[in-house]
Amino acid sequence: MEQTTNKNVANSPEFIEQVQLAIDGALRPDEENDFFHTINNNPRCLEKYYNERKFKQLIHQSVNRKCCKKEALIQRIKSNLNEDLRTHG
Amino acid sequence: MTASINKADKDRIFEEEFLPHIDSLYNFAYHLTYADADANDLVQETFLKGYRFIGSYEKGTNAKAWLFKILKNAFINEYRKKSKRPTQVDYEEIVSYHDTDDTSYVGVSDLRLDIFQGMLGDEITKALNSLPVDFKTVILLCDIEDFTYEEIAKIIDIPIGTVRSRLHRARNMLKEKLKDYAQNLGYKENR
Repeated sequence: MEQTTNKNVANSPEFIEQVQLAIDGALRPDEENDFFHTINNNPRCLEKYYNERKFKQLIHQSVNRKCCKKEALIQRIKSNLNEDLRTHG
Repeated sequence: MTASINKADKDRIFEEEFLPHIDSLYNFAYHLTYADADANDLVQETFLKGYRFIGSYEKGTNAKAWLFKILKNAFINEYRKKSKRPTQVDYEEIVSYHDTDDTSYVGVSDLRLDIFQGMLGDEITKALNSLPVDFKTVILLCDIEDFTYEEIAKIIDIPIGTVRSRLHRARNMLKEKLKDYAQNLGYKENR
C-alpha cells in the first residue's frame, strides 16, 4: 500500500515539475528544503530525482558543441564593424 | 544604461564583455541554422547590432544573455523567414493549448536512463535537433548554456511559467525521441 502511494507521488505531474525545478536550481530555498525533505523519505521519488539529474547531465555532456574558426570570424566581424562605422558614423 | 559612451569605452566593452561569448553564440546559432555559413552570418549580425545598440546595454551586467537575445531576434526576423530548409512546424501553431502554466501535461514521465547511457553524442544531438525550434531553444539555453529561467524568459520574451512548462515538455519530447533511437539501435527498455 505504502509502495503504491510512493509510486503515485513519484509519477505525479506536480512532483515531476518540482524535480525539474530542483535540478535547474529554480526553487526558492524554503521550497528546496521541503523538496529534499520529501524525497529523502521516499526512495521512488529519490530515484526519480537522480534519474532526471543524470538526464540533464547526459544532455549537457553529449550534445556536440560546434566550434567556429574563431580568429577568422572575429577578423570578419571587426572588418564589417569598421566598414559600418565608416558608412554610418 | 550607458547611453553616451565614447568610442574607446564602446571598444573596450566589445572586446572584454562581448567577444568572450563568441563560441557560445556560434554554438547556439549553429544549432538553430544547421549551417556553418548561416551561423557565422548570424553571429556577425549579433555583434554588429550589439555594438550599434551598446548604449542600451548596462555595463557589467549579463552580456551573454543580452547577446543571446539579439541573436535569437535576428534568427526569428531573418533566417527563419528565408530558410530554405523544409518548414519546421512552429509548436505554437500545433500545441498552443499546451503552452500555458498548466502542469497537467506530463508526457513521458518514467525515464529509464540506462537506455540512453550507451548513446553517442551524435545521436543525442540529432534527437535534439529534430525537436521543433522553440522546444530545442529552451533545452539549448537551459541545459547546454546554463541560463537561469529568468534569463531564458528575457532572451525569448516569454513568462517564466511558460519557460518552466516548455522546458518540461521539451525534455519529455527529447526522451521520446531518444527512446525511438534506442529501440532502433536495439536497446531494450528494462521496465
